[in-house]
Amino acid sequence: MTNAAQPSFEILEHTADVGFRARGASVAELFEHAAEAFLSIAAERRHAEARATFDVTVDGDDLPALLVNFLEELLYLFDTGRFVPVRVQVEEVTGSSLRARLSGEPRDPARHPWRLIVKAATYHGLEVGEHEGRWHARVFLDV
Amino acid sequence: MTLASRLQRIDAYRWRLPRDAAAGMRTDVIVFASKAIIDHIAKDQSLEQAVNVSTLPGIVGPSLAMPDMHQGYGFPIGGVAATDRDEGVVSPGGVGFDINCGVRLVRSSLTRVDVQPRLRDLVNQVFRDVPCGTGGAGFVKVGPNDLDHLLRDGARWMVRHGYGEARDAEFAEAGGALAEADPGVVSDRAKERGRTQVGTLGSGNHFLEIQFVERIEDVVAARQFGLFEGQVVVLIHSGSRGFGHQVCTDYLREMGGAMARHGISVPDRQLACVPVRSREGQRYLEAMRAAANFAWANRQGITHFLRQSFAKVFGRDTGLDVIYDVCHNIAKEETHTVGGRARRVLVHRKGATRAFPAGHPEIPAAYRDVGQPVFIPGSMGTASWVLAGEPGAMAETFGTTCHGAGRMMSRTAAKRGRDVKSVLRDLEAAGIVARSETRDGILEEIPDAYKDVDEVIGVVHGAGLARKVARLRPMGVIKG
Repeated sequence: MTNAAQPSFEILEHTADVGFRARGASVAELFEHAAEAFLSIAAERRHAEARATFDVTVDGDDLPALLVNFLEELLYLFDTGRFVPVRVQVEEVTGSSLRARLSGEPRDPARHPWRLIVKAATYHGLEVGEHEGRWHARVFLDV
Repeated sequence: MTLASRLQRIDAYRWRLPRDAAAGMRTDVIVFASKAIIDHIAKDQSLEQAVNVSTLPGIVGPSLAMPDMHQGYGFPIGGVAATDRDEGVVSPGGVGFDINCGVRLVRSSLTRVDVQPRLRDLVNQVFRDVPCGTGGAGFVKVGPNDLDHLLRDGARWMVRHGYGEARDAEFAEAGGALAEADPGVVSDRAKERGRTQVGTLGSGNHFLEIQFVERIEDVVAARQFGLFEGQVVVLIHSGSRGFGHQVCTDYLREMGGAMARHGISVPDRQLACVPVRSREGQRYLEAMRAAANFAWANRQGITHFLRQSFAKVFGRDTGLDVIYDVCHNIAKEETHTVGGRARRVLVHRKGATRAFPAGHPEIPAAYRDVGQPVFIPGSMGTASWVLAGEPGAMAETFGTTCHGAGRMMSRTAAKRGRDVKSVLRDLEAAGIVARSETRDGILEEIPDAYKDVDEVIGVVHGAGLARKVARLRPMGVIKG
């Protein structure tokens, strides 16, 4: 469970761009909160509804690469109009692969515009780690 | 000891960080900056990033930084590095996610007085005709079989298909298309993202501004560029959109795995690189050129719809001609004289603009006597500059100058305590009409978020990298 005193994510500052710090009780929850942070920055989801599901699998050499690749997957799905997630559920995550189920709908760009066009999730200042049983990550986005 | 404390002042415009300032440096870092600017630069991680660049295998000459330098990803924004064609590396981080992000300046036969009474109509019309791409596709129709041709021929493909005039492509860096682009090494994902985005501005710091020539500083060059005082011009700042972003992402991933095979390690994962001559290096460069060509096609599409907007509002030909089109995120193979001999190098320009001097064969014949035109957008609502390349750039910076004012305030800080209505009111009080698809588009790009563009220009002019030709002031702003 997320500690009520500690939000699941917060937005960070970077001179040219934007970032976030996310937390979770497990790697899976951390990745869910990171996805939520990313989508809250990038996507206008006021008019999006959870009427369909979309399964994604992602791999990466290590946890930081896995997180970058996961966010890149969400970015790709949104940019091409394939899907706008309302909810993200990470069903399985290992050190090098991840399976998630997205609930949402195909993106209609007029109703689900970009809030801020994100170019990429970057490795700059990227952190993924565990401290006293809680997981945290820091990610900067190039916008 | 901090890196900033190791900076040695060379003269009024140059600073050196010697190669013994940090472990692993293969060469000095040279920063072009005034005292006021260097104090800003020292506040973020950009010096550390310029030091990281100096560790790249095969770097030729110093790791260079322009006065608009600020913290980026891997390379600092405003960073320049040449690597040996045969012994050096290529780094996608030295180009950036927005491959061939660049600036095109279009002149008109109209004056400020002609446009002022119709300004609001004009801004609204351009806002309709040139989408930012946040909420839909661009108006350029590119079929699935067309895209590969567009990726090879860039702006020329657009002109052939009715989006512009023949001279438009001639007056672009590289003629609006780099040779040796290979759509075959570009992922399906990049193509899927790119196909519907030709002719869209993008968001962030991308914009289209209707401006007027406030002041001419170099009468001869201004005449060659077709500029006169009071004239209305249009500055287009955009790049390769989702296509280029995906190409960079794909190859960063590929290189991350390939580096170990080539025995290369770098201090920052975002600086991933491989030998220029390696298969991965060549594939990246072929894909990067395809993305560069996509960006030129994109700016050409925007130009086409811009002409339609002017025609609709003024009901006549308003003489919209492309002055030139420069890229400021690119890696190009060029010949430069280093230590008295000609060497083939790969020049990475990350937020830096090519600035070839008079006489260079790659400049259009019409400008060859005065030097290559360079366009430096300032922040929204302030000023932009037209410069011309100078011999000093060839001597010191691999033919390169700055690219912008340089951000110094985060987007979050820019929004704090400000509301969009008051920003728009301030702009209107200064005679500027602004439209944005998003509220944040205006707030995040407030003038206070940037360094003073005149201070930046003063450095490159004073250092002899590029000289002042004309100062431009905005009238209308269209943003993502």
